[in-house]
Amino acid sequence: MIKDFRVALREWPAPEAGPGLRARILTSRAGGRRVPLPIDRSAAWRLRLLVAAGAVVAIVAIATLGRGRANQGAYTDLLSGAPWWPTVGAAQGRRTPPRAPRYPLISDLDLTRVAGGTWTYEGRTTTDGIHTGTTGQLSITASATRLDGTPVWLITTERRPVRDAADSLFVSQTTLRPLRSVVNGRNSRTHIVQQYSADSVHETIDVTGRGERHLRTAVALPGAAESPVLVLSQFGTDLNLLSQALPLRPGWRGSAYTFGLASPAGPIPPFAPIDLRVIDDDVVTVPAGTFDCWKLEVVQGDAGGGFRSYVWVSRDQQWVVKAEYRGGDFVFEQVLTSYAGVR
Amino acid sequence: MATQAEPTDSASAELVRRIRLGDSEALGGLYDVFGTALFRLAYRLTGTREDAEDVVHDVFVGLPEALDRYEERGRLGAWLGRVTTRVALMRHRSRNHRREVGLEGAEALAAESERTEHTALQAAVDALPIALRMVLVLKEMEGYSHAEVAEMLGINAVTSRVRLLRALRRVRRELEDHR
Repeated sequence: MIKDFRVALREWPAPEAGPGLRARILTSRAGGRRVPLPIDRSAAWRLRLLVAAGAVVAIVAIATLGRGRANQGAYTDLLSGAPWWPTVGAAQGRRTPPRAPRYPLISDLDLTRVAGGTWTYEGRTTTDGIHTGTTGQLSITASATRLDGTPVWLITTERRPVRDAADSLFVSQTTLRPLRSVVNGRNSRTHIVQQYSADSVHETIDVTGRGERHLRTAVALPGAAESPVLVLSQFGTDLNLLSQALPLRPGWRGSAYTFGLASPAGPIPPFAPIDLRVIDDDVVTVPAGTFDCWKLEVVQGDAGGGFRSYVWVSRDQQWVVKAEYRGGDFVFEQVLTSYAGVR
Repeated sequence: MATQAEPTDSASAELVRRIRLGDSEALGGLYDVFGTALFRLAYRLTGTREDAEDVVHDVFVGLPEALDRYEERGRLGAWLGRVTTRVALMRHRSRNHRREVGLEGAEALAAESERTEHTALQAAVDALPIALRMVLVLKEMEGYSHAEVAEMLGINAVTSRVRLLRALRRVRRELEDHR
């Protein structure tokens, strides 16, 4: 008896799916519907998530321009004491290649739209729906200049409370690819220089004083030679120039690579894709005014499919007006408070 | 999950690659290959055509983002089967309802059951609690191992064995009562 019905179970027929199901699926996707699926969480995935969570904490700690000690020496505090701060030997370690970009690499930039200026942002964090106040100011200045005879945009950042040394980034005016990045740590103890060529990055990291070390690393750049690369250690300051050149329109999507640090070997690759997609248009009011904006979904990194944040870009000048990252119980926002134009 | 037309690894990889790049036609292509088998699995797990279509719909709509976590270590069909099972389970938990078969669905099922002489068997399976039904469907109908069933449902293999025995006993009892 039991054997018979077990055979019958295996042969139990099921009806066909309705003929419209395929079209319904594609229509839902085209309409922007997304469904988070419960996916296998392998041990490797959990490890990546753990590492990534640490990275997010580090990035948010810096990007939120936190008060007090964390703000005064973010790099030194975060890097020299952290377990993934590289040793000399680690610079030769084997790396995991980055995941594939979700969209075609960005190539159709309108560089004539790009203008310099100073954008000032205010960061604020809201936890459990309760406004917890501002977390500092970030001013980004992009000015046209030359580097070794090449026309470049020099991007400098200034933070309040003030750090003791400014960071700077030179970006090619003809490709918006980085050419040279300088990041300084607390009391100038940590000094990171990245020199970019068409196909590689040469990096030097010098830490003086306690825990002194000097690292020299070179890595090849992924992606097409003309596609933009965002410098992660500059915390999105170069996105302000790139956003101005993007051919934003409903449904637009494009990917680029971000570059972090070449030297630390480990599960976080120096390169990771950043996927940008226009998902909506929106009217946003920030201290600098009210802007008609494109709302972009930004997925950055590898772990767990990447970190998802949202950026509002004004439709006229294509400035970054607002950025938002949602954590488990908090929302971090960075909003434009003022702009001073300098071409 | 058995599929009659599972593509080669390279064909699957190409579809996955294109979906990750946002190619909706590739998503349609993947549905053409796996849609029937996933619908059958969803139907057996949920018991109604409407619920099964909703489950398959959600699986494919969520797939482009979910594929970022697909590590391509095993057969794509098996991975999709696991995702479908979890979506069905999640759907059941979120709704926390007793399955209700619509009039149209009931008539269709009745007609189908008469043709295939599965009326009593279907009634017995439909009467099972969802926890027992899922193990019965996955192990007996879909051919997964107890280890795989346990992994899909978030239980251990021993629990899977116990639930299967209970499910089989209940179905047998229902069939005997029916006679």
